[in-house]
Amino acid sequence: MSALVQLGIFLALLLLGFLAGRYAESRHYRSIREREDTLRELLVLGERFPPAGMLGHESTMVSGNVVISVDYFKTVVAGLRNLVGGRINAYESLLDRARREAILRMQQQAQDLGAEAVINLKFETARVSGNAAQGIGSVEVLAYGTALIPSATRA
Amino acid sequence: MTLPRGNPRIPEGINARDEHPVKEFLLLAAGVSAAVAAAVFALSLALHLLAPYIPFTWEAGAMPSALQGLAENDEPGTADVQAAVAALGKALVASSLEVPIDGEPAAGRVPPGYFHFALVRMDTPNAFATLGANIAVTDALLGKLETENGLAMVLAHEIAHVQLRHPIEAASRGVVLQVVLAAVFGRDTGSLWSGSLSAGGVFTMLSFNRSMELAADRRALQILRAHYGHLAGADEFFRRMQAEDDRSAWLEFANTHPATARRIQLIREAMAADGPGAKTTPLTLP
Repeated sequence: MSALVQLGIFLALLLLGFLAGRYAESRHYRSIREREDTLRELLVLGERFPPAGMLGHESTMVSGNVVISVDYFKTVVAGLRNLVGGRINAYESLLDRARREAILRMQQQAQDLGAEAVINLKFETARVSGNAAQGIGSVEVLAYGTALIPSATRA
Repeated sequence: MTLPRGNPRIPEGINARDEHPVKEFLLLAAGVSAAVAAAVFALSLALHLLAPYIPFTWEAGAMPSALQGLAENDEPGTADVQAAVAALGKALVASSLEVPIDGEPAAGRVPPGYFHFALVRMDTPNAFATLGANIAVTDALLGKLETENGLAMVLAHEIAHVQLRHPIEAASRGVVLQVVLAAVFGRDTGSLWSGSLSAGGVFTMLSFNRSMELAADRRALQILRAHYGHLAGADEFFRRMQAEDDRSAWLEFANTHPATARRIQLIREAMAADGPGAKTTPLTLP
């Protein structure tokens, strides 16, 4: 009997994780695509040195940081995937969202400073393991780079 | 280097594949469940074959402490009844030694001195056999029975469970199942080891399966025949339970004990082989 209750709780959590997680993810992706479109003009480059036209620009560091939680469904799928190996699709989409969101927040900060571009983009990723024993955790992605701001607007 | 006019549109479906997660989950769950089921089945079979060879002294040593108290159960006023039940039990154990198991002497499986019979206070008529050759009958069961033969059948059934090493097999199966699940799903194994044997060994948790119940009945009938020379009264417990006004008690018993219908059939068939004239002994308890 208690095994049935446990199974019921597990299935309920699984369903909740799936429905809520799926909804949150699709909504997040929609928002990411919209904001990427609005910030498309603000260049983000991996290049370490300022491009030729921006050599005289002011520079400052900008960063964007995001923490996204794993949902129960993703944890279970990843746990099963751990047994047999292969791509963990559930986590790939999670990290994809986190990276893009971090860039967007960094771009937002750069835009607020009136920057024209952000160069030398770098990422840091960390696991926020609140409840590590049960495998449920969150992922943190930090994006940072050097914003190049036209001198005239700085004044 | 010429600067791009804007950031590139990130192509979807490369970094994160656009595949329905439920499909992946179902595939994985089906594959892993099949593998776990196969492993559990193989291990259960191995335990079934190996359990009779686990030295009994190991089983006695592994008896959970929760059961130690039961072995020394001395409720005031029941000591005489308990002694009478134990005396009948010991006599049946002695008779059971005449019935070999798979052609080997039964004393080699479980030394007769280890058997312990206890009376437990419980509202449902029932009897249990558990680790360490501990056998318990409930006082409600004694109230149901009128012949010694009926009680002897119940005791012989539990003695047969012990001699066929069903408690250690069931307990080991519980442990193995937990270990497999822990290995697969990565539970904390530290707490598992401390908790598993006591949890798996508690009376009602220890569940015998269909084939175990039938094997115990077959052996119990042989023990009864060795003890009384006939099987009269062997079906008394089932008869009383079926005649019970309160059908829920019978249904509960039938639900928790597998193969009840088949067991009654088996006992009646064996009894039919008896010639007429066999007499039951009335149950006299102090």
